[in-house]
Parts: sequence; structure tokens; C-alpha cells
Amino acid sequence: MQKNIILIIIIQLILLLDTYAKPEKLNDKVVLSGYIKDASNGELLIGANIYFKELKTGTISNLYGFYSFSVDPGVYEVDFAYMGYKTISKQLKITQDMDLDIELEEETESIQEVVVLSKKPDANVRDPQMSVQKLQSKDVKAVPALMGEVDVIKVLQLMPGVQATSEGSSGFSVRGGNPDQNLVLLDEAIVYNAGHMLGFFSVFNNDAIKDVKLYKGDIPASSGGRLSSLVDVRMNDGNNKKIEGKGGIGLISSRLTLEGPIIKNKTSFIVSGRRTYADLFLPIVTDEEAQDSRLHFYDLNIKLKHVINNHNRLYFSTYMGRDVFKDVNSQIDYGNQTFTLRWNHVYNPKLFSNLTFVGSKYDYELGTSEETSEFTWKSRLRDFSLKLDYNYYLNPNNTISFGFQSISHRINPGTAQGKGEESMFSKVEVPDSRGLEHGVYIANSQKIGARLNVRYGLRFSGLQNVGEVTVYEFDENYEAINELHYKSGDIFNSYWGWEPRISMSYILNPTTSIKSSYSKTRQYIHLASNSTSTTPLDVWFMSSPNVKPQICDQFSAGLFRNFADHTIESSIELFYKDMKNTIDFKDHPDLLLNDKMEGEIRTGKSWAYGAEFLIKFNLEKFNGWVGYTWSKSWRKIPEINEGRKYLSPYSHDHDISLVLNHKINNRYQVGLNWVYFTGSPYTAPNGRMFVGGDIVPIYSARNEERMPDYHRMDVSFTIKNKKKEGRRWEGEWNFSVYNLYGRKNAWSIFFEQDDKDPYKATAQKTYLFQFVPSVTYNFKF
Amino acid sequence: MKNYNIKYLFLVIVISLFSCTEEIEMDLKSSEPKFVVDAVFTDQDIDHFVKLSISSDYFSNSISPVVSGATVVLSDELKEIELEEDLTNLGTYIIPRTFKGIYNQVYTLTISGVDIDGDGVEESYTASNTLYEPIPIIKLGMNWDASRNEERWTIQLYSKDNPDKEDFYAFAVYVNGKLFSDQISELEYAWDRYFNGNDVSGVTVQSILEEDSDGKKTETPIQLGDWVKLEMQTINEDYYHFINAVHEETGLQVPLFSGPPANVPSNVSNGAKGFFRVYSVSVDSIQVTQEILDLRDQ
Repeated sequence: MQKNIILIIIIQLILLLDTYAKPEKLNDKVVLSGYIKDASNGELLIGANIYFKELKTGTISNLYGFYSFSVDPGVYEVDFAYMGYKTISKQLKITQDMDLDIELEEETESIQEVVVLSKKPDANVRDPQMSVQKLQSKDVKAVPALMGEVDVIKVLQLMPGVQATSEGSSGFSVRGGNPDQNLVLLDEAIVYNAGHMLGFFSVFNNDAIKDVKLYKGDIPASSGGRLSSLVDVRMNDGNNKKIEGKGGIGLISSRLTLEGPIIKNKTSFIVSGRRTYADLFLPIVTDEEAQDSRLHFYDLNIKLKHVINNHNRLYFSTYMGRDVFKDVNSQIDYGNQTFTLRWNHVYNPKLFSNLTFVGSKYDYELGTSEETSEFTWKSRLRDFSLKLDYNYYLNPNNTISFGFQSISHRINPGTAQGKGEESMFSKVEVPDSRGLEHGVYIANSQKIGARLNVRYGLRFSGLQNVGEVTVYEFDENYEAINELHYKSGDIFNSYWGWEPRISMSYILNPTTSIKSSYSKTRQYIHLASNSTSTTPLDVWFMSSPNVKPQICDQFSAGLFRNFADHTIESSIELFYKDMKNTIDFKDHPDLLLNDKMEGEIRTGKSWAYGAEFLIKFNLEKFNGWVGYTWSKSWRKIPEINEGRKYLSPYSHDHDISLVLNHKINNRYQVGLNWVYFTGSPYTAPNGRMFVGGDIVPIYSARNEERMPDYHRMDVSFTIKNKKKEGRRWEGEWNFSVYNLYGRKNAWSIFFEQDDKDPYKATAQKTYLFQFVPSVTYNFKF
Repeated sequence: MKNYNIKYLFLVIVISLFSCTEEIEMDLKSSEPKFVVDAVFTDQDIDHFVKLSISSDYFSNSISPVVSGATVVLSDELKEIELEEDLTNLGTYIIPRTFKGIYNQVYTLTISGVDIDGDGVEESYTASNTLYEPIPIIKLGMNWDASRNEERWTIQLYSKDNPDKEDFYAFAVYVNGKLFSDQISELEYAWDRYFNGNDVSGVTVQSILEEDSDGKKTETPIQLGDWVKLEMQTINEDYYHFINAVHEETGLQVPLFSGPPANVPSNVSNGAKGFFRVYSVSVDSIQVTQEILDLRDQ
């Protein structure tokens, strides 16, 4: 009920603004505004450049493809450009406010001669935004992938400053941060567990994705809630011109996507599904067990777009995915569900708004069916969120954005109970925890003179813990000494704080700039996991009277330079992060189904620093990038490692990645990537003792040793079918090999007592994925 | 019986699907030697032992150096005894069977007269643990399990948990009087958090492996007439956490489920390692009948 009232107030507020926010006619400026779209399917293009030649300045389209720019009345030559698309130049006579939607055509080799010579996008140099990486769905497709499953998360992990938490994992660490410090959004809905099949594949089906942006620092003030990064994944809106399909058949999965108009140019849909059949490769399945065993996952993305008129657009998108593991005695299934309802509204050419209502859910259920020890165990996290954002294009030099967001979290960490009358198990329930997370922000992107661009913003965020709940108080030995009960609806604890963000770029010359940024971020929800990889059983928990929010101050500075007519972009970035209230866990913690889990937490501080070098090239026949990162990430927690500082498990001194894509001709394409990084820190024994018949290791310092260095090369080869006039069907074969030279990279190292000689011990290494070939057939119609 | 089993399910799937394991050469550092206490005391009518040793390099591949000539005293609230060293087996001190355990008493081991750090000053160490009352076994069952690529006999327990307190258990299995699970890492263990006060009717608590996942068969399969004995140990919470830690530190480690390696806890004072294990025992046996054997051979 309360939610409805808030919604009504907001809608009224919007309508009110509508009447007041009539375009002002200050200084007799006029506004050019509209949407930038892909000509073939009507997809809105994010971050397209609109450049006024006479003014030597311009703007870029926002996350919804909308742009707005005010100028003195007059005649202008305006370029509309987007990477990989043909630039359109228009002579525009702008005497009054003007709505202009632009459709850009994709560059294809066949029509070389029409390429308009104009300024190539140089946003990399000009934009004050730093520490950001953008990827489009087609960039992702070109990179060789494990078992042919192209995966945007795996490609992000090849960027400087970003690393997989362990081989093949969808979890990643950004600039030495923890995997739970990444805010992963799919059409603005939080994805709480981005991994399928224990993380070897991510939940993002590349066919359903339009654009991905990773902010490694300098997160815009409009987002918050995580310390390290923001991964903003946007789904395709659906072709609003014609029905189209694409798909693929791979070794372990098949995909199919259909999109098209429901009402031409007004309403469109896209449905994209993926299902794996990894069960077929299940070696543990014997004949009699085959009937009962399952190992698969599926994804379904649906999106609807409706253009009410040029000032109002509605979007609905949803994602559902689930993994199922099952054998004779036990099973687990888990998955994410999200939905997003959005209303884009243009009040006037200068004021754009987006109202979003989002729901996210992650849950798992597992059970065994071994006679009387049969039981089920469930855990669930559910969010609802309301977000309102405004872009106000004040004048050519200032673009103001402001808005707020409120999220309601409800977490059931776990409920376990026996099944059947004979069951020995009692019901064990860790009670639900509820909380409200809020953020209000205002930010401005300002041009000062021809050389200086500044972006500054302020976010005010907070968390309110809401009953009904029992909170334990702990003594200095982390023993629960007191229970406090709070009634349903009681707001019994709150945290509030400011998050200033500022970044600037100073243009030295048209191809060179220096940038710097500072940002403060606060995190109120954390993952109860002490392993280095994400697992489906991980449970999130909120800050509370016992757990303070994590706070990070990040400073970065960089030099950006483009070469060869902006086809080669290079950058050097330095960063330093200082983090407070960092969460780690005591030795051998009990994190699952434990109502006193907060007593297992140990907090302290952490810091990370490093330098990132990136050369990105986009030549006619070659594209890709080379990245190198040097970084360190430390933690210092009084009760861990005897209070001495220790390396974070995600601290790799050196990290090199090379991604290369070579177009041999219109039909053949080769892809290659190579990664190298210093082995992960781990804790090795420096002594042993005999107790109760076991050789028990004795450890000295945490994470003092290094695993062997990691390196790997993957290759792919793509053959496109010959194009034939009048044939809609386009097919391509993709052959790839993961870990081409079969390096046995250590996934883990452990120590084992010999079976025969009880005094002998050996070190063992486990490795994954040695030389994995795969073949995929992709099609489009 | 505990969530460890569930984790194990994924491990089996993941590991059999994708991974390989091989020996690797590692250079490990040395540490200064630490005093290690490995002691057991139960309510059984047998001699018990206190073994004192010094830790060694991880790859020393030999028996640990023993600590001989220490003064070792075991006491409860009523009595006290100084232990004699076994002269044929130095470093081992005998708790004679005449020293009987009394339920709900705290047993304290005091060790003095040793100079481990070699600074010329003798140190002293203590370790305490409580002997709880045993919980009776009603009966046992046996079953055959051939899932997850392994073949094993499973032993089912029928019992009733004590509703008045939190209980912790460990389980060991004997075949014809020979201890089959002779290492802490082979004990099964349970905490009644999930079944406090409930009837335990036929829950698998131990097993006897006959064929492992590599297809290697045991040399001594179960035969008609064999006696299988289950020992149910009622332990205290600290020992439960110790067993759990030993399992984690001596087993397979994978990034998915293993936290960072960490020292196992100790209940010995003054920075020493090891554990003084005190528990009471209830036992029951089952004789292998043709009916049971048929479960395997059908």
C-alpha cells in the first residue's frame, strides 16, 4: 500500500514538472534533440556522438539513445557518428527547437565507397569519464570462448584491472576488489549471481545483449551500492522494422532469438532463449542412474518496447535463468529472475526522464533424498526498486542529471527442514532480514572553455534495517551475549553517508588529454563467502548494527592519447583505493544456515594501487587490444594473520592480456587471445604435526606464497557462408580452442598424506580445461 | 548429515567433469618448531596415551621428533595422576586404565619440564576438555551404495538425540575389531543443530569403501559373518570444530568451496599445537548376514 502511494506521488510530481518545465527561451537558444537509432532494426544507440562542426563541440546520446543540445539559431553542419557505423553529416538550419531522430547504418565492407570522411569519435580523449570500458555484443562475439559460449563477462575479464576470481569463473575482481563489490545490472535490475554451472558460464546470453559498460572507478553519481565497479548490461530492444531471428548450435548449448515489430515502428519484441545439454557429457552417469541425473541450465530474456509518441516510451524486460543439478540422491537448482519496467519521458527538448521499477530475485533450493535423512534447504533474496532519473540539458556547457533510487531488500538466508514423517530433521530457519537502501544524487557535466571538461556529483545514500528480526549482540570474543527483538516494520538501525564524485579531463591537443577523478562509494550489502570463487550457495547479508557499511575512496589519474586518426587509442591510468570496514571471515567460519553468522565476520581495512596500460586498435583488418596491469591489493584485519597485513586473494602483480581479431576477408576471420598473470596468492604450510593419525599442516602467514604463474592462449576461426542475393539466411561456422597449448594452470593446490606411507606428504595441483576444442554454428535470418 | 555432504555433491560433479589432479613440486618455507600435544582420554576401560612431539617441515617425510622426559599430569576435580613415559616408545605417556573417567568432569592435562624454544627456561602447557555422558545406540543397519562412481557399505544409526542439550558426535567404524577409520580425517561428525532431541532412525553415519572413484578395489571386501562395529563418540563443541578443521585442511581444496587455508584450532595453552580429545563412547555391532551381502551382489 505504502509503495502505491509513493508511486502515485512520483507520477504526480512528474506530471507537475511537465506543466512547469516548459522550454525556457533564455538567450534565444534553440534545442536540437532526438534519438539515435540503428537503421536496420531501430535499436537505440547508446553513446553516439553528435558533433557541431562550426562549434567544434557536441554531445553524446544517453543510455536510452536520447540526445539534446542547445545552440544559437543558425545553420550548422552536424555529424552523427557511432563506432562501427557510417557517420551521417547533415546541414541543419535550426531556427526553433527541433526534433530530429537519426538512423545510422552499420559499416559493411561491401559499401566502402560511401564512408563519409569526418571526425572519428574521440570521446576517449575528450570525455572526463575515465576508468570505463565499453563493449558491444559484436565485440564479444569475436573473442574465442570456452566451449564456444561467447560470454561478455569473460571478455571484460580480459580488460586491464579486471580479473577472473579463479579459472573459468564468472566472478571477477576489479582493481583488487572483492567479487561482491561489483554492481552487475541487467537493464537496471541487479543480478546477484551472474554465474551458471558453478560460474563457468555467465547468465548473459550474448544474443540478447546490446551494450555493456564497465566502470572500474569513477562510477557515475546515479549509481551506487558497490565499492569497486558497475557493470551496466543493456538488452536489445527488439527490431521494430522487420521480423528477424538468430541463433546458434554449440557443443553444450543452443540459442534462439526472435525479434520484430508487433506494430511497425511502435511496438517491438525480442525473445531470446538458451538451453544447455551438458548432461550428455556427464561421465559420472552410469546407465541406471542416467534416468535421474540432470546437469543443465537455461536462460530466457524477453523485452518489449512501445513508443507511445516521440516523447514517451515504455520498456518492459525480464530475465529468467535456472541451473539444475541432480543425481540419484541429491539435487540443487538455483537461478536469477529480474524484471524492469521503464518509462522514458521527454518533458521538453532539454529535460529527459526515466522512471524505472525493478524486481530482482535470486534463490536456490537443494535437497537430498537419502531415506530418513531426506531434507530440503532453501534460500531466497528478493528486491524491489524504484528509480527516477532526470537529464537536464541546461546549455551546451552543462548537462545536469539528478534523481533518486530506493531498494527494498528481503533476504531469507536459509530454511532447512526434513521431508516426510520419518524425518529426523527439525526445521531450522535463519529469519528473514529486511532493509531499505536509498540514494539521492545530483551531478553536472560541465565544459569550461575549450580544453577543460569536468563532471562532478554528489550522492547521498543510506540503509535502513527493518524488523521483524532478532539481532544478536556480540562480545569481544564474538560470542553472542544478548538478543534484541524488533517488531515488524521497526526501523531499528540506519546508516547514511555522502558520496562525492568528481572527474575532469584537460585536453592538451586534439589527440591527447589528461584526466583525473575521485570517488567515494559505500556498500550496504555483502556476500557471505570466504572462498575465492562464487558459488551458488553464497548468501548476501546487509549491513546491520554489527556490520558497518564498506566505504571506499578511490583516486585515479591518467593520460589518454589517440593515434592514426583515432583508430588507435591508448591510455595509462593510475589508481589508489582506500577501503574501510572491509569484510573478511574468521578461520573455518560457519556461514550457511547460521543465525549468528555476523559473529563470524572480521573487519578491518584494505587498500589497493596499480597502473593500467591499454592500447586499443580498430584498424581495417585488425582490431583488439593489449593491456597490462601492475597492481597490489592488501588487507589488514586485527584478528586475521595476527594483525599483519596480507595480500588479497585477488592481488596479481602483473597481468597481461592480448586480444586480436583479424579479418582475412569478408568470409574468414581469426581471433586470438593470450593472458598471463602472476599466480594467485595462497597460504602454504611451513610445518606439520601428527595428530590423531593425520599429517596436519601448520601455516604461517596468510597468502604469503604464490601459485605458479597463469598463462593461456585461445584461438578461434570463423567462416561465413557465401552471401547470395535474395537469401535471408546467413550462417557461420566458428571453431575455437581454449587453452591451445594445454598449459596445466593450477586451479588449486592442496597437500595430501600418502596412502601407503603415513609419514609422507605430497603437494597436489588441480587444473581445469586443458585444450578444449569446440565448434558452433551461428545463423541469422 | 551436514552441509559438507551437499558441497561434496558439486565437487564430485565439477571435478569429474572438468578437472585433473597431479603432483606438483613446491618449495615450502620452514618454521620454528612448535610443541604438539596429541592426547586422548575416554570413558573406556583401556590404557590411553598422551603423545608429545615437535612440529617439523611439511615435507620432512618422517616421524616427528618426540618430546621425552616431560612431566605430564592428568587431573579432574577429585583426583590427579602423574603419567609415566612408555620407555619402549619415547614421547608417549601412558594414562593407565585404572584412572577412570567420570561423566561431566573436566579433565586437565598439565605438561611441564620441557624447553621447546631452547631458551633454557622450562615452559608449561595445559589442556582441558569435558567428558560427557554417552548416548546409547539402539541398533545399526547396513546398506550398499553404488552412486557417484564409488561403491561402499553404509552404516545406519538408530538412536535418540538428547533434547536437553546441544550434542556433538563423531563416528568411527571397525571391521572384525580392526579400526577402519583410524584418522581424524576419516571420522564422520555431526552437530544436533538440525535434529536436536529427535529420533535418529537409520541415518547413514559411516561407510566402508570397497571401490573408489578410480575403480581401485579394497583388498578386504566385507564377507559373510564379518562383524561391523560402530563407535559413537559424544564429544564437546571444541573438538567438533577441530575435527571439522582437520577435514578441511587435509582434504581436497578447490576455489569454489574452500576458504583460505588456516591453522586448525588447539585446546592446548601457551601457543602449543594439537588437541586433547576427551569423549565418551557407545558401541554397537552388526554381523554381516547373507541378506546384507545380497544387497551388494544382486
